[in-house]
Amino acid sequence: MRLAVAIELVLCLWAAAGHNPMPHNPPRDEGVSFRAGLPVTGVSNPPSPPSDCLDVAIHGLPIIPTPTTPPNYTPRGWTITDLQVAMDGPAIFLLPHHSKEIGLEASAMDRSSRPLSMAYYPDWVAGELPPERVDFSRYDWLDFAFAMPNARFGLEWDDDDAPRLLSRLVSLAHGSGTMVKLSIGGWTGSRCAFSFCRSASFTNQLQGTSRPP
Amino acid sequence: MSTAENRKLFANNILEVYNTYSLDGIDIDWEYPGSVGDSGNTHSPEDTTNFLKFLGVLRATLPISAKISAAAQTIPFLGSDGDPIMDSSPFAALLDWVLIMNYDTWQCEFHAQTISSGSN
Repeated sequence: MRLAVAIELVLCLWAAAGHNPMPHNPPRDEGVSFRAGLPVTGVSNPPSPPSDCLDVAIHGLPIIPTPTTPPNYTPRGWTITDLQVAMDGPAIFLLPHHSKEIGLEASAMDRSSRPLSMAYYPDWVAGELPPERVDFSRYDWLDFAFAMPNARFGLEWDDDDAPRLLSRLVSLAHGSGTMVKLSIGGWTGSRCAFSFCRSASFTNQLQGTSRPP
Repeated sequence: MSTAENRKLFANNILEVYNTYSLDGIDIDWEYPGSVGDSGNTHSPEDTTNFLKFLGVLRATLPISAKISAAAQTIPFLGSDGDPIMDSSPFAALLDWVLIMNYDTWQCEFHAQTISSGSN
């Protein structure tokens, strides 16, 4: 099975984030629903970072190199000046405006022979970066975050507007040739169904009759 | 994911959402198999084994065109002994790619100039 190479650049700007991972997605009653995690920027459980910390994450290196990995591909260095800050707020996406120069233009090359460009689209950025403002030509794939498994092995949303937001994102993305995955889990969405459930106490949590431990 | 019944139920529920929203793939962001993530999470020594079984069920349940990825730490998933598994190839056979959560690796001392000078 083909293993693709994905590059994702996410800048975590602590000063802008104000150490609050979800200003647009305030915690809801945990007895009813989970809060979303924030694996995109990693600010959900920071080990006391300094306020001026910049963190650049590169995601999606292949598990095991295979012959399908572009043979001449060398991870290209990125500099802050090469990157365009696409949005402000807790999750700041950096876009490579020089992508055409280095051959990463999403539509310029066959997807089977070049690295894929991907990013998470967490639902709590919708206020600042609605799907209508996303430049889909820069992305092969977007991962909508998050749906969270519940104790009945179903999926729940972390925000009431998430289903409509996902529909808008998929419609616009497909219109531009961008694919969309749904990301299931996240930092606070990995509570139960993935491993096993402490069924009695967890059922109580769902019914709002007790607080989580 | 601890029983075959649950794995199948979970995969079927994912398929329903996949179809409802005309998705192209599924990313499983389990933080973390075999170790605690957020407080209150459950985990088990059998997590990684069960995760692999689940991915097999999910792969068989979703359309053949669906891409499946997983968020991963900078080390492989933890085995039953608590150490990273030595052979990730069974996962590679089921996943199209992984998203490495490099933001979990904290390097708070570097700045833009460091990135610039070190990457070219």
